[in-house]
Parts: sequence; structure tokens; C-alpha cells
Amino acid sequence: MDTKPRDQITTGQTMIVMVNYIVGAGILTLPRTTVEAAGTPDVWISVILGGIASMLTGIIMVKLCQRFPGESFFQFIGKIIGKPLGVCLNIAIVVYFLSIASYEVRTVQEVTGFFLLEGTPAWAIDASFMWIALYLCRGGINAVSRLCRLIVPITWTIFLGVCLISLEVFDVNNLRPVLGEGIGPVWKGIMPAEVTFTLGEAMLFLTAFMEKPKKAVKVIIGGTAIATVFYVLAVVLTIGAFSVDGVTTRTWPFLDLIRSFEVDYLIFERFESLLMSIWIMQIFCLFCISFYGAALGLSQTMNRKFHNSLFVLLPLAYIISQLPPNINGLFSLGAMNGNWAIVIFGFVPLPLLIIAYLRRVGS
Amino acid sequence: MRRRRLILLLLTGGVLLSGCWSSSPIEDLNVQVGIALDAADETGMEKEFEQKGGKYPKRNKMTCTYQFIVPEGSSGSTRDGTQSKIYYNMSETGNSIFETIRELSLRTNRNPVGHHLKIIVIGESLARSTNLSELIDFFTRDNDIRLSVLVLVSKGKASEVLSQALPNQIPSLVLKGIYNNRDRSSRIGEPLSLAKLIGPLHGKTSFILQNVIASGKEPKFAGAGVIKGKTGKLIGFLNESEVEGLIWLTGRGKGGVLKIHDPESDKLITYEIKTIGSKIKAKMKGDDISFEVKIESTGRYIEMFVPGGEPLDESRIKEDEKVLEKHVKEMVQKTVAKLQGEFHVDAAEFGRTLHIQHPDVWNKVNENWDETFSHTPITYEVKIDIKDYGASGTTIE
Amino acid sequence: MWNTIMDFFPSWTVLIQGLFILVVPVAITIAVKWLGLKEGQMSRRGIKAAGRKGGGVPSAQKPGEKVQKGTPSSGGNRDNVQTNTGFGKEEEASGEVFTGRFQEDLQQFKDITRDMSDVSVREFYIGPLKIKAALFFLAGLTDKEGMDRDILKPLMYADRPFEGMTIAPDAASLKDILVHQVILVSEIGYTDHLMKSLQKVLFGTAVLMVDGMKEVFVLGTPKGRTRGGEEPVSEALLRGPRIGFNETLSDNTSMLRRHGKTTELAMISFTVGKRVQKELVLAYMKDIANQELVEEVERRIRTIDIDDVQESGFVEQLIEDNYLSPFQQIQNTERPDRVMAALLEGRVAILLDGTPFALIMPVTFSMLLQSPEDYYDRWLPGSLLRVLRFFAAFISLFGPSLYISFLSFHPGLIPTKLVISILSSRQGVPFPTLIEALIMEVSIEILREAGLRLPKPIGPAMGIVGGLIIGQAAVEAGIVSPILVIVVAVTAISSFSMPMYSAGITLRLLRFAVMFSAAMFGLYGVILFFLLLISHLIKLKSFGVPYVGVVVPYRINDWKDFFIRLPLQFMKRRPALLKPKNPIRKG
Repeated sequence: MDTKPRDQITTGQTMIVMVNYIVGAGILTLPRTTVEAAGTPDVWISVILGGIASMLTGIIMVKLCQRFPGESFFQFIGKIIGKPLGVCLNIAIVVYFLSIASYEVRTVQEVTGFFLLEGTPAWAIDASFMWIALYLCRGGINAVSRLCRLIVPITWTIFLGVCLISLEVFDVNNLRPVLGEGIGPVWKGIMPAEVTFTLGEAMLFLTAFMEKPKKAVKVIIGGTAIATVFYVLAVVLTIGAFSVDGVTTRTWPFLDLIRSFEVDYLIFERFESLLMSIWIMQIFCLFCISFYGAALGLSQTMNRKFHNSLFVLLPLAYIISQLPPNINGLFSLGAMNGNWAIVIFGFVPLPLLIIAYLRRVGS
Repeated sequence: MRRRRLILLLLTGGVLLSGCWSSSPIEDLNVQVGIALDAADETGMEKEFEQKGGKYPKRNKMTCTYQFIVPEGSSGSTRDGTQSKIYYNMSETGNSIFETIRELSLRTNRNPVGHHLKIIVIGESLARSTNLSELIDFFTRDNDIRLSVLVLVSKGKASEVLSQALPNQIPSLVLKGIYNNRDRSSRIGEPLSLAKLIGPLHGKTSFILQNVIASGKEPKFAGAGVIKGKTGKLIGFLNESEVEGLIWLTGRGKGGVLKIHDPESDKLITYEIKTIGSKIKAKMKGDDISFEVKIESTGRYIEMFVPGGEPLDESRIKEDEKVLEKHVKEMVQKTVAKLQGEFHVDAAEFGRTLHIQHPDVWNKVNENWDETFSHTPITYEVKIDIKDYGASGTTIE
Repeated sequence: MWNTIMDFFPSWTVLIQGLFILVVPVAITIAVKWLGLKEGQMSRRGIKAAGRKGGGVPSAQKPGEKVQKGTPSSGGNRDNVQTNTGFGKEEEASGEVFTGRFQEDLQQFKDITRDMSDVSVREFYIGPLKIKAALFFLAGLTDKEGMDRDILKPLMYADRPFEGMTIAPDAASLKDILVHQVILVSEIGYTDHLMKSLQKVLFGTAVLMVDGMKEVFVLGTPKGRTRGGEEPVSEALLRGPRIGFNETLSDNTSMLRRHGKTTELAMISFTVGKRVQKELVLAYMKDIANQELVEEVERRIRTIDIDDVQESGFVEQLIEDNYLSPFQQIQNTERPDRVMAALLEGRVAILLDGTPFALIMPVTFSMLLQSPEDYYDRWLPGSLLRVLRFFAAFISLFGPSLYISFLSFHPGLIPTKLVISILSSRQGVPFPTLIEALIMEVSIEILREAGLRLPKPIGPAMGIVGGLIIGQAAVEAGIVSPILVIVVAVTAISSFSMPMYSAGITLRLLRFAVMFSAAMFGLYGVILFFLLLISHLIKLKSFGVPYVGVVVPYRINDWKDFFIRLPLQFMKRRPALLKPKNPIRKG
């Protein structure tokens, strides 16, 4: 892997990478953040709307990328708005991806540290996680996308299975009345949903690797749609079990949902171990994707070797992950990431597209 | 070469030295399966401890009794076949549940852990005086204790419930197991786990908690305690048949028995419930709220003392259905009357029905719902459908 | 403002930890690079050049590339070509040649075989003209009966061809007469090199030296001790051909030929080994195998630079992609049917003289869990067995580590009733779970190893009895808990269910690594190890083909033969990731 992309991935692979990029740490907290903002059980509508919104921004980004086939955003941005501005934007995006990666690794640290490994020092949890991610990322986008593809059957089956079993504590009355207080609360819920969703910004570099970049729009629509299904499932099931009042009191509502039932007709009586495992795998994917994106951006902006920028970013990711002083700091880091995403990826691509169109750069 | 060796050495050394940070071997743990919370009443042992100087600043608010599993191997008596207690209870008094648990660590080498906690029983006097959300806060916050822990109240001392069991049985597991009999008896309320408790407590809605009492060697599920949402405190008890009425009202039963006995004709009909369903409809007439309850059930004759030896034909069945319907209706009315008249709380989820069906109205009455409910007229309609009469087709001769 | 920023500034410990996080992977990278450098100095594996620099030498031209140069005389084709192309100038310069003067040559030959007592010389006269001749052969290796019958007898009784001659004819016509009229051997070659002829003798052929001729006859009469094609021990099947390769290359190639008639099965012969030369055959289907793949394999064979290729394991280790990986990147098998199946998928096989183990490459992960039986049985049972094997592989890899992580890290994740029974059974066990599991695992591994070495009749009994007795005794003595004995036993049985012995070893090896990882991080450690493992597998390539290519298929079509085996009718395409020339199996 030089600064030039050589690996190629298929449409299906890209879509799965996309899903893995969207579904992340947020799934554990989304029910709470949205319900806190909206206060009604209708937040699942907000989540769907959020999905559609992020689809739209994603499509704009894809359209932008499609003007420069084979080049990633980091490479062609200079052609649109000039080198100095482009470098600034690139750095902002690199920092953003890095901070997403840090947020994920910190969430893993918090959750495993609380539920699985009370007493293990944080750096040990993070270090082993990040080293393996580094090892994988050195294999390039193909390795990352293959990993996503490999774990997807495992994680999706277990996720859906666990969701199915959680119907045991599901009470549909907790979700009613639908739109009892009108559409107002739904709008309020969109913002936290959007923050969790991210806006499909991974397409900025994924499109460059696609075998058939023409299908990138399909990827963003399909990927976001699948991710929306997961989020909606998580939100609906959690509210169904805890009711709106209960959800707001839980720090990790979705995890608590899995902890709140036991079945004795299977070998497993409790499922949080399964959920934790697939969740860690899922976060690992997300971490790899965003870490890869950050490293790629850095290497392409600075014209340095990809491997070296991986090494440079590794300790940075760790240090950023340790910046939030406590769990509230972690949540505000997540919210900050989301807000930044909306600024960078929600508002910037459209003008860029228009400028590119007016200046007739790209095909 | 030397550098590589050094790195290897460092790595292996690091691994060996630092390994097993959070390891807590299972055999060194004291597995809690049940907790009983009572109003403060120090045990004799505790008093003795205190006399000898085992004191720390605390306010005696509650006595927590912890039930642990005794591993079979260590008791040593299982081999010779003598039946032994496979659990033991420890009590500690204080005003913070967590502190009492940690206080236990001063008394036993094996560390109490709550992963396998199944049951929390709250004694009547404590439940009447303390907000329930204070009592369960620790349990919902802890990382070991799961939200699937079931919560019960006990009319009397909760610790007594946890010390009653047949040999080779663990009281906490027995209590949890009794919930599996909901298809056998319609006098067991829905199991209320911590997860299900958080919502109502936080939302300040009233609900009922299963009551368990103990006598001799056995515990018994007897009625339910009513928790008032506003205060989160226990305000009274429903007896067994009132709980049964409540279950008919909400239609959340899984099975059970319905029996009527007519003393005049010495006639007894026992009806085995197969399904129960109920629909509650909130009706608005201007500002006046009223509820319409429709209960439906299917089942079969299972035991009848009706002399005559007649075949159980259609008219007979119809007649018995009428009798049963009337009985159910009375039972439900009695329950609701008690909720409305005596307790002034809505523990039967009428409020939620209103919320779902008329969200705008609910927003208006939400604040003072328990009072409003006490004056709300409710009509009932019961329909019982006897599907078959078992293997015997006649009344007895 | 400034204070809030300073609040966020990471503390020194965090910076040091960050440094630590950076240093370790950098150190590992440097170490691996250094290893690669060392390896580059030590061997020629990495050499990309296609020339014949290495020790491995192709003994035949690529089919259809060039017309063969040598003088193709009757039957002596193979040896001739070897003479012409096989041995470089090096040998020609140093090697002594036959002079044609009988006594001189004989003495020369005897001189070089002075310290080889098993080389025999038989002097005799040819026919009525009493032409002096000598036959060199190896006592144990040459087919003496055949030699007496087909060489000595016709030569000594050769009256008719020499009828009317009074003096010995010149060398050319004598050769002509002998080859065409006298010697009853189909395989004839010629050489004038002393050393070359000696090599031939040592390999079991008879070498005939005739007075006046500068060339000697190399007569193919070797009869090594060969073994019939018995059923392979390491890959027993209930259903399928009961034949396995043996130690003779020609037998093995013929087994492949006998599998069915095809003209597309190419077998290219190479000679490998610097000091002890052995024949190696590269087999592939001409119209299926990807040309690049074949060339790559040929290139790697040429880089083999070693004294003696003792077994095909040497070839495997010398040409595999990543020698640091615990996974085998080349499959070895004793079964001709397995080799043929692989060839038909577009893979390439290597057969080496002297070993019954053929090599198949490239390997993909799923092959390690496949058995030919999957295909011979109907598809439902075949799929069931395969799913079972995947499950067994999972247990064999993660069994003890899950035991460790659940028991000493997450007792909360075990069902309560199980906790109660484990709690009772572990009372009084003095060791932590890791040590306990290690004790049992190591002793089981030793038992297994011992069972292999023990004489056949005792071996299996010893394995079972030993396992039972040790397990029982350990439980009785309170060293381990009964649950662990169950876990270890199930793990051991699972690892036996791997159809590939060497794949089973890999899993056993990795199992210990996971155990340590679990002892450190519990379930999290197990998951991380799993992620590390698949990260490694994903990056691993076998001859340019992604190792887990089937698991992560380029095309969804390749899944049909992974977890389950679809009915044969549906397996229309060959695995796409091998990029076969002809992707369709039929139609």
C-alpha cells in the first residue's frame, strides 16, 4: 500500500464495510440518547428519519467522489478548492476519523472494564485491541473489508438471535401510543440519532477502492438501510422492555436489555457474553475502518508512506481516547464527533460538489 | 540478536507479571442467590460483635440478609447421605446495602458476588417506610447484579422467607421456581424483575409486587403488595383471590383454576383455565372517563360434584358458563373496589390504557391519576367458553 | 479558557502509555524485518528471477515450448534429456569421461567405487567374438533376475547378430547391433560420464560398458523395494478408494494416471537436492490450472537449495509463503483421489520420490476441514459432517480457554445451576484454572505423542487407559476438577476429528496460545485472539491465493462448498479464487 490505492473491493464488500462503519458503539447508548431528547416512545421514527438523512448526505459525498474515479477525497480535494484549503480540510477529516477511532476504543475500554474485566488497567485493554487493529490495517483496505465480511455472518446472526430471545421481556404497550404527542418529539430525537449514525463519510475514501464506483450510491443506500434496521431494532426492543421511563435511567440501555432476561431452555442462560463478544468484534471493525481512513488521509495528504502514518497515528489515537476524564466526557466526545460530522460532512460536500461542477474539475 | 532477545524477555516478563488482573476464581467466590431486606433488627450475633467493639458509624435502617450457596464438596456430609442445608444466610445491619455487603467481607474469606442473585425480598415494614427506588438503586447500578433479579415483598419478615426450604433446596431458587407455575395457578402475579421495576418507579405509576410468606419449612405466594407510584412505598396487600381478580382483569394469566361452590345445592364446578384475555377500553364522554373491560376465557371442566349423572350437553354448559362468568365478574369487581376504595391507586394499568387510547386526555389527568381513577366508573363483561369436559362426559352419579 | 484546555491535556502517564503502545509494534516490525533480512542472506527463497540459479532443475522442457534437443533414440528419452539439459557445465568440466579403452575404464570405475562395496562388477564376453564387456550394478537395488535374463543371457548368447563377423565391428555399428538386436530392455540411455554412470548405478540401473565404446549403456532395471498402495493410515475413510501413495514416484504418478483417462494431466519432472538428487514431479491440469500459478510453483521449486530433500515436508517448508505462520499453506495427502480432486479444481500438486506424501497447493482454509468423504457421501450427510467438523475445530481451539475465562473471570456468565455444580466440584482444587488446564492439556498431549510411538498393539490402549486413569486419578487426588477433565477430553476428541493431521496440530498449538490469552484477559482475551487469528488468516496468502478466500469469497458462489456441501449438480463452477482457465466444471 503506497499512497496510491491499489487494492480493490467489490460492491458487496463495500456495503458491508459501510454497515460496519455505521453500526458501532452508539448502538448501546442510542435508545437512551434519543429518548432523553424526545421523551416519547416514537424515537424509532426519528432513527429511521436519521437514517434517511444520513443517506442523503452520503449520496452527495458519493456524487462528489464519483467525479474523481480512483482517487480518494484526500487526493482530489486539492483540485477543487486549492491545495492549502484542501490540506486544512484533510487534516480536519483525519482528526475526525482519528477521534471516531478513539471514541470507539474508549467505549470498549469503559464497557469491558465495567462488565467484563473489572480491575484490569485501561491501557492493557486498549493496547491489545489497538495492536491487533494495527496488524490488520497494515493489510490495506482489502484486509479490513475481508474482516468485516468475515465477522458479519457471526455478528448478525447472534445479534438477531439475541434480539429474538429478548422478545421475552418485550411489551408492545411500552411503545404505544404512536405519535401520542404529535410529530414534535420525533424531530427532537433526530439530532441524537444523527450523531450516532455518522453520515456515511467512510465513502469518501471507500469509493476510490471500489471496483465499480458507479454503484457507490447503491452502497450508501443499502449500507445505511441495513444499519438503520439494526438501530431501529435496538431502540424498539429496549424501549419495549424498559418503557420510556426506564430507558432514561440506564447508562448502556441495550446491554442492560440483554442482561434483563434469562432463559432456561437453551445451553446459555444469559446472553450478554455473546452480545459482548460480537459487539467487541463490531467495534473492532469500526475502529479499523476509521483508523485506516485516518491513516490513509494522513499518508495521502502528507505524501508519506501509509505504514508509517499508521504507526504515527496509533499513540495519538490512544492519547485522544484518554482525554475524556470520565464517562460523561466520553459521551460528550461522542456527541462532539457527531456534531463535527454534521458540520464537515453535512454542509461541506454540497458546496464542494457545486464548485467542482462550476470549475469543471473531474469527469 | 541481543535486541530481539531483550524484547522477547520484556514481553514474556510483562505478560507473566501483569497477567490475570481481574481474575477471580469461581471457587473463591461466595455466590449470592437471594437477599432479604428488612427494617433494622440486629441479630444476636451482630449485637455480640458490637459489644466486642465491631462497630462503625452507621444508622441502623435496615437489616440485609444474604443467602449464599454452600458448595457441596466442602460441607462433606453429602456422601453419607444425610440431608444438609446447602445454603447459609448472613445478616448485616446498616443503612447502605453496598456497605453491608462489604462489611460481610470482614466476616468471610470468600468474597460475596452478585452475579447469580435471583431474588430480592423486601419486608413489609421496610417497604412501607422506604421508597422502593432507594432500596433497589444499588442493584440496578451494580455491574455484577443483573436486571433479571426478581423482586418480591413479604408480609412479615423477609429474612424468614429466605430461611425456609425443604432439605437440599435453596429458598431463593425455590421462590424463583414458583413463578414457573403460573400456568398452574392464576394467583401468581407477573414476575417483576428489576428491569420491569425501573420503568414504573421512575414513571411514578402504581403496581403490585408478589407477596410471599413463610411458615414452617415452606414459603408460600400469598397475594400481592400494592406499591403506590407517587411515594414508591407499600400501602397494603391484596389477598389471593384479589390477585386472581387482578389477573383476570389484566388478562395476563397463563392458566389456573376457577372454582365455584354453591353451598345450597352442594354443587361444585371446577374450571381449568386454558386462556385468559382481556380488553380494556377507555371511553370519553365530555371530560368524564369510563372504562369498559371485556374478559374472555376458554377452558374445560376438570372436576365437578354435580349429582345426577346427566350428560354434559349444550344447555348444561351454557348454564355453567353463566355461573362462572358471574363469579369472575364479582371477583374482578371486588379487586377493583379495593384498589379504588381502599388504596386509591391504579395498580391495574388502566392509566396506561388511557394513555395509549387517548394520549391528549392522559396529559391532563396524568398528574393526579390515582385519585381520578378512584372515581372512574368501570363496566365489565365476562365471557367464558367451556371447550370440553375432559375424559369423562357426564356429571357424577 | 486556558485552564479548560489544560484540563484536557493528557497526563504524563497517558503519554508514556501511548509511547509504549507505539514502541511494541514498532519493535515487532523491526524484528520481523530483521528476520526477513537474515532469511534473505541465508536462502534464495525470495529470489524472483526465473533462471536456473537454484538447486532445483527442471528435467524436462515445458511442454510445447521447445522441441527437445537431445537425440531421441529408442526409449532412452528421459535420461537423455537429463544428460543434455540437466547437468550444467560444472559437471562436464570436472567429470571424467569414458575413454573407450576397456581396461583403463574398468580400472577407473573400480577406483571411484573403491569405498562402495555394494557396487558389483560383472565382466563377460559378448557373443562369439568375445568382445570384452562389463556390467555394473548395485547388489540390492538392481533387478538381478531380469538383468540375468534380459541383459547377460542375450549378450553372451548373441550368436546370430554377429554371424559372419570375424572381428568386432566399430563402435557405432556395435552399438546399433546391441541396441536393436540384443538387449531386451526397453529403457536404454547413454552417457560417457563416469560420475553420471556411477550415479545411475547407485540408483539401481545396470550400466553396461563395452570394449571400444566411449559411451556406456544405461539400462533401466531398478527394482527398489516398493510397497503396494495400501490404505493411508493418516487419512482413513469409510468410503472411498482404499489406495494410497507409496514411496515410489513412478507408482504414484501412475496412480494419478490410472484415476481416469485424460490427456490434460501434465507432469513435469524436476531434480531437487544439491548432493542427493531426487526426482520431483509437478502435476496439474493443463486446461484448468492457472498459468501464473504453475509458473510461480516452478519458480519456487527452482529456489530449493538444500543438500537433500528428505521428504516432501522439506519441499513444503522451503516453498511456502509465510514460514512464521502457524497455518500450513500447503496441504499434504496420501490419497490419489484427493490430489485428483484438487487438480480438477485448478490446483497444483507436487510428488516427490521416496515419500507417499504428495503436496497440494495453493491451500485455502476450508480445505483443512474437508475430507473426500464429504463428496462421496450424499450431500446431506456430507454437509452434516462438515458442520460438525467446524464445530469440532471451534471446540478444539477454544474449549479450554473458554473454561478458563468463564471460571476465573466471568462466573456471572455461566448458568446458575452450572455454577452451583462447578462450585462444588472445584472445592479444594489448589491451582488456578490456567495451571489446572495446562496440567491436563500437557499430559493429554504427551499421552497422545506417546501413543504414537508405542508399539501398535499397545498404543491405542495406552492412550485410552492412560487418559482415563490419569484423569480419574487427578480428580480423585483433587488436583483438577471433574469439569475440566470433561473439557479436556472433549477438546482432545474434537481435535482428532480434523481430517488433516497437520491442521489438528496447528489447532493444538494455537489452543495453548488462546489459553494464555484467556488467562490474561478472560473472554475479552479470547475475542481478541480470535480477531488476531482471523486478521492473520485474512492477510495470509498461499501462492497468491487468499487463505480464507472461500470464507470471504469474492463471489458468493464459492460458499456452496464451505459450511455445507451443496449437491454436486449445483457445483458447476470451480472455485473462482484460483482463477482457473476454465471455470465451468461441466456443460
